[in-house]
Amino acid sequence: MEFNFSRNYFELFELEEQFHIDRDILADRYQNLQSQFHPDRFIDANDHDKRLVMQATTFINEAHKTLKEESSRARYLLELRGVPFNSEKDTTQDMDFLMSQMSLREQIDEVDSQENPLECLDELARKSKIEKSQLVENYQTQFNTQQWGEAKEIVLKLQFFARLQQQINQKQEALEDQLL
Amino acid sequence: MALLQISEPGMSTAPHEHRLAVGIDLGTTNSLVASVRSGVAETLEDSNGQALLPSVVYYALGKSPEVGVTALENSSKDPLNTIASIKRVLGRSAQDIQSANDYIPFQFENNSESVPRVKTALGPRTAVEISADILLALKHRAEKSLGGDLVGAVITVPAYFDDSQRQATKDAATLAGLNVYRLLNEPTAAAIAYGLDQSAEGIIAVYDLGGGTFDVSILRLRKGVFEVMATGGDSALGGDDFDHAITNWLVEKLDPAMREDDIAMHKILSAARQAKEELTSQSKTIIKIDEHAEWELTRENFEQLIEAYVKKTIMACRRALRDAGIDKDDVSEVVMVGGSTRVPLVRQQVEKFFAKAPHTDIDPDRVVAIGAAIQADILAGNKPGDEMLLLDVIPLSLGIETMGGLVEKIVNRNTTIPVARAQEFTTYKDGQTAMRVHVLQGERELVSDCRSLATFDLTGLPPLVAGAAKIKVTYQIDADGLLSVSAQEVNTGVSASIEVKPSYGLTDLEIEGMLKASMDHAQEDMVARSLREEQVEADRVVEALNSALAKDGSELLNEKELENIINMRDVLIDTRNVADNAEQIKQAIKNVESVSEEYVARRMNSSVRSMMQGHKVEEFEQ
Repeated sequence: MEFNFSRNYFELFELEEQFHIDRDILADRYQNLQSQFHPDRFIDANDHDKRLVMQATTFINEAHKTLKEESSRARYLLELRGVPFNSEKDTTQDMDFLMSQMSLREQIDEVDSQENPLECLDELARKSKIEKSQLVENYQTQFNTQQWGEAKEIVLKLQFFARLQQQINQKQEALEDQLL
Repeated sequence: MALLQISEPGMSTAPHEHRLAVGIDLGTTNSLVASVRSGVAETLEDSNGQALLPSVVYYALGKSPEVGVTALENSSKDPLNTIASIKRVLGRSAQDIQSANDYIPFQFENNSESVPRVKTALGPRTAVEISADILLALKHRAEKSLGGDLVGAVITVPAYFDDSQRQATKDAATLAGLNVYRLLNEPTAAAIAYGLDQSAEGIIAVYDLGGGTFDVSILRLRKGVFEVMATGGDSALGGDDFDHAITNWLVEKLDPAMREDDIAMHKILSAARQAKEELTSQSKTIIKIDEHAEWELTRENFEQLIEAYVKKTIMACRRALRDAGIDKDDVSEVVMVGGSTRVPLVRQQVEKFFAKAPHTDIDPDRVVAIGAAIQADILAGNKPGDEMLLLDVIPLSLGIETMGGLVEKIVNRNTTIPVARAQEFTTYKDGQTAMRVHVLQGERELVSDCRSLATFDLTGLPPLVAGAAKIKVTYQIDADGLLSVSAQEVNTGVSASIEVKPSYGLTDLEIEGMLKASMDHAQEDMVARSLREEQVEADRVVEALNSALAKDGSELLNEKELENIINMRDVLIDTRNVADNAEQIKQAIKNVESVSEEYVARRMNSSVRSMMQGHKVEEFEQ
């Protein structure tokens, strides 16, 4: 059993190092790699090989998850270009953006008082999805023209949307639990 | 007796080695074992032709545990020693069980231990041990019907089982002497059975309502790969709840004080279960407890009693779809699994929610075991070149306790396994030299609302100012969904790790002790088995000898010789019938063999002679 852990995620899936990827090709290559290295294929292997294939499939899963989602793919591409991220200190300085995020969060907290809280949440999710896709488009332009600073700024904003989506989901679940 | 039976050259060994592997569905109410034979996955039946083994164990003084139908027959006579639905407490703490507020039809030992032990006539037993008794019965059935030792087994678990419930299931299988290839999620097993059956492609929703657990899984089937997109459910919701709903309704009408009377409660519970089953095909039923107590229950009443439970399952379906990131319309097939999906209200509500008629063509009781058998067959290597592969997820998020009793998630639910995630933490006080890692599972934010899996300490940290030490905590989850955790201080390399064994689970030492005890039993089993084998051998020898004697005994032997052989043969027959160990029989066989050595040689010569009759000697000289 041999597996090269030093490849980056794009090399692993034999994809061009760019933001746009063909999801079907990614899915095919992911399945091929899993078919070769999944622990199910090594049920009678020795402990050393079992450990190794577990690490290999863990690596493949992490790579797949990172490239499959737009915001993690965007961030990973910048990291490959040497752009540093420090999750504790980095944040966007765009005050207008921060204000709009604050207001979105308040709206989530306030849905309880609405007549149809679940529908309000759906509406919020729809709105944030549209804003997110505009950011993604913008990222591609910045990345292609090698504006790393601007591209990083967008990645930080995308992370806000990811957290917002989590909050919406949590709220939805809390409301559903109350209905039972 | 080598020369009395000569096999054709090359025919004595099997043409190709088929490794015996099974799939086991360890259910709350019933359990099954299945295997792939001649390319077809089928459930294995007992000597009465029954595939379903009631998951019931009867413990009686002076007897070995009885499992299945015979155990069930004792339930009305001796309910407290007849343990049913043990899966509901498997991998749970005493505290969990108390807070679940279920009616559990057996009693626990009162002690301060966190591992709950069920009171039985044979002494206290843990849920792991009781489950192992059920698994052992299935193992014996499989070995008997497949005719050999098993190389491995795939055991199914509800997708929504947490880490400790999975670990407990694996422990029970180990205790029963099974080599566990893989723990497989029940809805995934069902999808395999359906997927391979119909070579489907697309998104499948599996709705699995069993006796005590509910799961829903959303899978994508693409080019032979089953990828679980999301899973959800409730590990303590099932058909048992329907029975209890009817029971509660009855008890309120009869006499609430009856709850203290175990025998009466048992009777009512059985009547409730029967009523539920009758209401599958009838619109009303009469529940008769005794001559004076008779009630009518309509299907409408029954549906009111269980409505809240069914609603809860539909909510879980909605959530699973959201986690999978898809809409209802994206689902191409809906598959129903588990005996409780026979309840008309359940079918109706599922069909309404997905706006699609669900598949019910494979027997909902057997489909999980069949899927597990297919997976076991592939893992055993009986189907080289088969491309089927399963990619499963963890059902519940895994996190760590942070300041203020909050849980920080490290691995989110529905992440594909195996997976490893690391997160860095730092010290909270100046000069802090130790850190406690508290591992939790669940979706809620507060430690008190999540399930505590383990705690361990990382000691020997360099005494630095608060926030200067960097502690990297890594969670690794393997292909069975089991977790191990390690922590390391980045600068000094000080580290600690733990394989997560829940604090109220069984320790390795306890498992070892039980294994030893069962090995002793296995020793007994082995003795009995080699005795049986030697008896069979004795029968074979006697039969072969008799047929040889009938053919040419008087021809080749003088009277004295014949008498000696016949005497030894009769000694062997007696020994075979009365000996209690294999060695004695073996010796008697040897005696027969040595006394008939000369006879065998003569038979050989005579057969060579008869073969050469009519030929010239030269023809054989080559």
